[in-house]
Amino acid sequence: MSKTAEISPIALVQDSNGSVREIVADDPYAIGYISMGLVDSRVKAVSVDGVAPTRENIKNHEYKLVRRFLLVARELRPGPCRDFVNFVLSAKGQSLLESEGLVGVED
Amino acid sequence: MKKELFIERVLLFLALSSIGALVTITVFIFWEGIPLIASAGLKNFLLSSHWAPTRGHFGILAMIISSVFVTLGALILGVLLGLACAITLAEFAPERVKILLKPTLELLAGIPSVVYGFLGVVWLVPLIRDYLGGPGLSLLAGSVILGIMILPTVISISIDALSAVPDLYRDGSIALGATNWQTVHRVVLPAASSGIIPAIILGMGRAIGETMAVIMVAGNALKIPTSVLDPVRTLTANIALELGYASGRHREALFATGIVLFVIIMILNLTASAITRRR
Repeated sequence: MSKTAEISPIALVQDSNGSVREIVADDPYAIGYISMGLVDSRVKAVSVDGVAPTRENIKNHEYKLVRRFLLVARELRPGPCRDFVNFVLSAKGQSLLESEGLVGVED
Repeated sequence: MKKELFIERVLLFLALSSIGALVTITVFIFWEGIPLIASAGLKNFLLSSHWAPTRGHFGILAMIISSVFVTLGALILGVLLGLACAITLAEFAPERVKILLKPTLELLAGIPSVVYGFLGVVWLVPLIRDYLGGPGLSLLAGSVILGIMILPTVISISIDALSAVPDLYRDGSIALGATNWQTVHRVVLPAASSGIIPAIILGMGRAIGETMAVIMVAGNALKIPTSVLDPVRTLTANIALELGYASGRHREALFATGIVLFVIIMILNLTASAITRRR
């Protein structure tokens, strides 16, 4: 796909992951993208080049359709902001993410 | 006496502050949006349907057309049902039915638009997809939901207009041998038209400005619709969908979209009040 390619004007747009999942679950011909944490039994996650989107495949970079989640701050001084980042990166934070169906940062 | 003057001043200040809010909003929208229209060119902005704001294409023609069609569709449904309902309630219904139905209809106006949107997604969209084809999220779905949403506006203002017609007119018409229905559509409706037309225009303003329900049922695709089953993105949906993650020129373009919407609604409201005043 070239860098100048644009999203098709006939593509439907929804304002949340949840409504994309609703539509895909209801419509036999629909395909869409949502966060992995929201995939449930009513929709199927698609394999890309024969690679299924499992935790392992995402962690070892086998699965290509991955979007990173970013934490942004103006500067990371000690304080609540830094504490939050540390918490997210801590073992507890990471296991919470994983239990929500997301994939933690690789070490 | 001094006290009276003081209260007068306070009231004046309060009255002006609500106008002040309107002025602030107007100035702000134009301040944020005009630079983009100036740099992209009014023609490229209004007459192109190529919307790729992160790549410098700011054409909103498809959304203007979508907004107009969704609104027209809503009017066809809302005005037909609304007028029929208003005529029944004002002219034919017995007093007891009227007392029961009028507040019920006004309750319709109090239902949040998310609820309308949700019902649309759950019931209407699957029906359209299964029986008429297409993705279901469509111009038609948006029009039907909006048509229902504008009912309270159309009905209550129309009822007021019909009730304002003096009974003298009705009695005169009946005395000349006209039937009830002939009286209503030849005498009462024309006499009430200066109140009914503003009702329609205000309903139109409500339909074109509605956002949440439309985002949920209309599909929000960027193409100019060629069928009522095509998904469409209205001007309001465009602003609400993208403002959350827009910056720089993209953000300005959304404010410029707001200017277009603002101008359309201003024209509608001014037309409505001009017609009412002519009475």
